[in-house]
Amino acid sequence: MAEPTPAKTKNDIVVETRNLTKIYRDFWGRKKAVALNALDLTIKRGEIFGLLGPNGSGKTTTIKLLLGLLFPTSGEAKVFDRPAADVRKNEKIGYLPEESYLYRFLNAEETLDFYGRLFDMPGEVRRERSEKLIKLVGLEHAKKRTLREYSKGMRQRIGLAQALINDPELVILDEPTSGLDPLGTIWMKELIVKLRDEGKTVLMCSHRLDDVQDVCDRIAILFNGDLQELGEVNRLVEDARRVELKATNLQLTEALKADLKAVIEKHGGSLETFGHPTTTLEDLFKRVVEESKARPGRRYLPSNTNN
Amino acid sequence: MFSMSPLFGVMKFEKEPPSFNGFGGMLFTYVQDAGGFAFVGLAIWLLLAILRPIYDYPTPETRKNRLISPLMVIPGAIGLAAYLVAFGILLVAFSSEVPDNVTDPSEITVVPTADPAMVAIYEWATFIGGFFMLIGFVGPFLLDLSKLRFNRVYAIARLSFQEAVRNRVVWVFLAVLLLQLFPSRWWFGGKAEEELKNIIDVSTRFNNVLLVAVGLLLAAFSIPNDIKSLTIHTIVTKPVERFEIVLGRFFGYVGLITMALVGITIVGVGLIYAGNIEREAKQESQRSRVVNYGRLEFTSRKQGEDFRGTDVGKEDGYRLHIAGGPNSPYRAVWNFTQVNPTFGTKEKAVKLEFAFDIYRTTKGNEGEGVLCTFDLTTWKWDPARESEYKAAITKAFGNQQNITPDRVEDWEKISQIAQEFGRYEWLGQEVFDYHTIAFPVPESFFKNALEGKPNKNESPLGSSIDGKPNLIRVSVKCETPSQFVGMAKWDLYFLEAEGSFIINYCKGAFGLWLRTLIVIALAISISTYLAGVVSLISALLIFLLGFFLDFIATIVTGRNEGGGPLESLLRLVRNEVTAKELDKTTAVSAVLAGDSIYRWTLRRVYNVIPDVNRYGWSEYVAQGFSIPGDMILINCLSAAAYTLPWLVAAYYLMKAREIAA
Repeated sequence: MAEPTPAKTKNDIVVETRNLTKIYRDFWGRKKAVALNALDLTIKRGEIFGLLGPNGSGKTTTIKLLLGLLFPTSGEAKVFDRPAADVRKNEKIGYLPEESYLYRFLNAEETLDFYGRLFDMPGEVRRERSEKLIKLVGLEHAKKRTLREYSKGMRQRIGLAQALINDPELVILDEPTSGLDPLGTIWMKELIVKLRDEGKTVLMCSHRLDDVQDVCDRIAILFNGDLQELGEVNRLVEDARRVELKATNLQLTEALKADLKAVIEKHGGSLETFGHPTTTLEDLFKRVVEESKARPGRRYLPSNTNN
Repeated sequence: MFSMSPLFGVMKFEKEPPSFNGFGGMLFTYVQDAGGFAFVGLAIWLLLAILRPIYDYPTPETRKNRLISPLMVIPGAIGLAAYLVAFGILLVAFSSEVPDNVTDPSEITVVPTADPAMVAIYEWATFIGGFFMLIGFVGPFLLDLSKLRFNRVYAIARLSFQEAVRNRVVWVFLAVLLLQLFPSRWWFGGKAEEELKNIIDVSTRFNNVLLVAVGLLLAAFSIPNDIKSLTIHTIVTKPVERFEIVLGRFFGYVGLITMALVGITIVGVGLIYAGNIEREAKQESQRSRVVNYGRLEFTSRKQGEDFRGTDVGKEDGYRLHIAGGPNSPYRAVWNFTQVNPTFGTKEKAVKLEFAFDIYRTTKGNEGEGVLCTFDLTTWKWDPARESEYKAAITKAFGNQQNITPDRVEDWEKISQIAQEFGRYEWLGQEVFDYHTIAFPVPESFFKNALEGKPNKNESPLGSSIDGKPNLIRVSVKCETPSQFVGMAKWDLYFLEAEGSFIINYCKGAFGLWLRTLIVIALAISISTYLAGVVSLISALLIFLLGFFLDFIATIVTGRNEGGGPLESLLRLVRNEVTAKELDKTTAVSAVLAGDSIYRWTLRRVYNVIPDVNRYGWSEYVAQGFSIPGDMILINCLSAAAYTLPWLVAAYYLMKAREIAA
């Protein structure tokens, strides 16, 4: 993955929060819950930023505060140097909610046309952009079908298309891979990276840690409304106490193992594991599907397995 | 030349239809009332803004509450100062009893117990206070209007329209065909000449329920459903002003209702013209009379008698009567301050139409009506020329009672006399109970009235309450002994022209459109804060209360039987009839004070209720009278004046709302 462009000036700061706090209160103004507590955060232009945390940690609250869907109890949230409550900032934002909250009586074309109008886009631009996005999200075959006939994954795809209708500079994705099958998930992750490569900033929150790890440049981990960790993914997940070694064209023999153990121990370490690396299930699934596409037909036979 | 066949069309108004007379006063009262509500709204907004501020940070060191702007605070402070002046005067100088003669709640004000100048100061202070409160409350709204974009409002309006259509709401409108496709005489009996009236009456009622119900349902649930299904999240995260959502929904549903109404109106008119409507019914109702009404007063020629018409004890006291007889001193007199300038240029004549109520004290002869005499004079008529006039009539016609308009010779002679003297008599007209009858008046009579113009208060015929000189007077006398003829202001008029029935039918539909527009605005505004079902019930309740506004007015003005709720309770406990005057004890005073507080509160509630009856114009269409243009215009202004504060309230409610909370 390409490295994010480092921030150099204040103009490169897309999102900034200072002491951002959200407290939910009851009708009488009594405190019910602290959803977010004094969050200080800066997101730079051209990076993929991930918000992580368990349910109720304040991820979605942060996104809603940035979008002006909620008002802060105290503190400040700025997007493109404008207050979060200022709707003009939305001109440069694309938002994909966790569920694709779209009008199900519209078809894909009408949906994108509707959201394009909300950006006051001229008709010709709307048509051109809609066509391009429908192609991008792979819904050309279903563009005339109303959204109520769509599967959850298709709705997520058209949801992403509406988020990109204005060619936004900042894309906010709430659980972007929710409802997508493994191929859809891979497609989504590749698209997120592509958006970053085009110079856009992506802010995403997800429960799927592998997704976040795969695409995010930096992450923030929230728990009970408090910021617990903030930094580059590679740095945060790096285990400085261990050393990984990969090699090719070697046979797993006891002699090799003994030699390696001796070298490691000579340098003060100890050998923990020795064997072939495993691929991810995602890679396996991707490979099987691609092979199936290339050579259709049944491949699995009971005799091929041990069970 | 003229059809003398009796027709049945007559308008009945329990109160004066809205007009531009006293528009300045209405505006003054509106600013006072709406300003009071603006004051409350502004106070609540500022209080919430202080308690739950949303800060912007222009620099890291400075912060600004985005909910409060100088445009609110400065006019609000000026308005408050004016209100304090008014309140001070109220405390020291006035009581708040409602005078006996007040029937319209908007006329209720404080009653002076001191200097009338203080009343003027009080009135102006409340006006100025209200004006500045309106600026403070509406100002930020007006400023934000510049941020609205047509394309976005249109997109949301279109979406609302598509949503309703694709959810098959339009099929509901086809229900109207069920009613229209069958002849009304299948459903309703009655006379043949009433067929068209019945059709218009029933279809209007049905359309009312249909359009209002659909408009109400769509509007009340639209924004709450958007919030519930979270679809609103994908809208407010676009550069959409929140008020654009309100406006978009509003225009979308108004558009849908408009299209439905246009369709229903076309079907309605088509079926009336294509249908097999009885000839009498067409003659009666399929027309559009453009009329000129005068102002009615009752007079007696008996010295010193203050005659205001006789109440013959009919349950419906709408009409007052004059007793008949050759020597009867009683007259019903219509004064006309305005005369259509084209009257004096018409080729032959203008029709005077009337329909009276006959109250018989003896049976009379079967099939015979009651005889009436009509004496028409202009402001130029000189009673000193009575004998000269009589001589001219005798010379021209001998002893003949009425001229025959079809005889050109006669008509020319009478026209000359009418122009010369400014007087025209129509004698011995047989009048039937509630039958509209017409007779011709020579155009030269109007020419006489229109040549020159009396200065204010200089007309020998007197002037109207607002000081306009009377130009023409029609004096009616009943000649038949022992019979009474009952009249109301609207029972006699000059027929200015015959308009188009289709246009009049469309005007009637426009009234229904205004009513639906109000209900949609009401429901959408309420739904910006409340849930769908609660919005529906609230809007429906407020709308339905509008049909009882006249009754509420009687309570507010203290004209209802038995007084306020506390007085009624007191009478109930004491087992006293309403006619009995209450003792002047401390307890009674406390009860009456409590009722006056109740009335004051109800007066405020009264302003929140739409006057839906004023948009019901189908009676005009059914009776074959043209709906006056100025009435349509004043009602449009009234609808806007009612709708706008609700939309401004919706603007604030949406702005303050945490969409995702």
